[in-house]
Amino acid sequence: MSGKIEQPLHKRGKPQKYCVVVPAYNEGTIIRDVIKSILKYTHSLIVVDDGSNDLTAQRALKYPITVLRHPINMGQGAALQTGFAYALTLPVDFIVTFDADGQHAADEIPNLVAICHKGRYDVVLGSRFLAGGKAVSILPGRRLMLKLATLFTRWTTGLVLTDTHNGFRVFTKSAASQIQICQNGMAHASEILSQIAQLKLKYTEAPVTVHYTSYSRKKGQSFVNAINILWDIWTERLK
Amino acid sequence: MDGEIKMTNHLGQILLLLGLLLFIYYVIKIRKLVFDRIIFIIGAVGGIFLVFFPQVSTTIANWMGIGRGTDLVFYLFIIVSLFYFVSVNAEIRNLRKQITELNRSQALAAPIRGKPLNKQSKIQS
Repeated sequence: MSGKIEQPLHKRGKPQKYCVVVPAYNEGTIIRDVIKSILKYTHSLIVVDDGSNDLTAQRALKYPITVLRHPINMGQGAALQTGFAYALTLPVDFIVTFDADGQHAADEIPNLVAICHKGRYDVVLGSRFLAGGKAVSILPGRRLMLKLATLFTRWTTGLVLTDTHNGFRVFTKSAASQIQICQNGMAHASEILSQIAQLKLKYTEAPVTVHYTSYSRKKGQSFVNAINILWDIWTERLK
Repeated sequence: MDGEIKMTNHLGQILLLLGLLLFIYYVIKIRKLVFDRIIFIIGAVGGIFLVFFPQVSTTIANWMGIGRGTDLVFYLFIIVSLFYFVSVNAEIRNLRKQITELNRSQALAAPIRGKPLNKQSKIQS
């Protein structure tokens, strides 16, 4: 990755330069809305099309953003790592990760980046359960599941968090360069946290709003997938 | 007599348990492809040997406190299957890692810049 990179980003006079990485797999129906909402807050948007077999990439390319295409579907973790690798070549200070299914609120991006900047944090993790955060139309089963995940994370990494599986995060460039996501699937969320603990990165949680829609529920993780995530985490330890 | 039978029973159990513990230690600490293959070769040669001398398995089984040679072979089969399962799994994981790298380098080599006004064009590198 040499040569020219993206245009200067901050035409809106934002104090910190950041880019947004959106991993997307078969999000063709909603990707335009998500891109439009993010473009209000940054000009540096990278959509990683993880081998979609719908119109995700074609629709994303209607906007002044960068699209990276995985030839085959590898999973959200792999897509995020690809997005990081590209974002690290850009002249930005912060890298924001954001879900493509429309459950996050783009207007919270500048706030999270500002928290990262002002608090000199390495990582800011979005939390829907922190005071001030919202989980709109969350189902009770999902809430319980996410609570169990926070207990699991406390047990395995020692990190005390209120929300461990939120795709809305801010990383400084140096933090993003140290984190290596090897878990291609959904276990990457736990992997990122365990690396934050291992690398002793300075982190905090910030309240964010998560909107559950019938679309995001359909795209989201099912209950049994938690077993897959646990399996991925534990088998990774085998040689 | 009773005591003796019990002792030999224990011997078989202890050996099989040791085999399993060794297996776990091996998987976590010292796994290497070449050792996997050596273990497979030993298993295959041992199997061929037992085809020609089936009574040997019964002799060893009795010595270990296991009734029939068939049972001993069955227990060994379980242990070997575990080896095989883990080694194939590791291979698949390896392959997946390589595919991921290939996928990623493809994606990074050709970032596509979307444009609202002009037609799409690739960023020059």
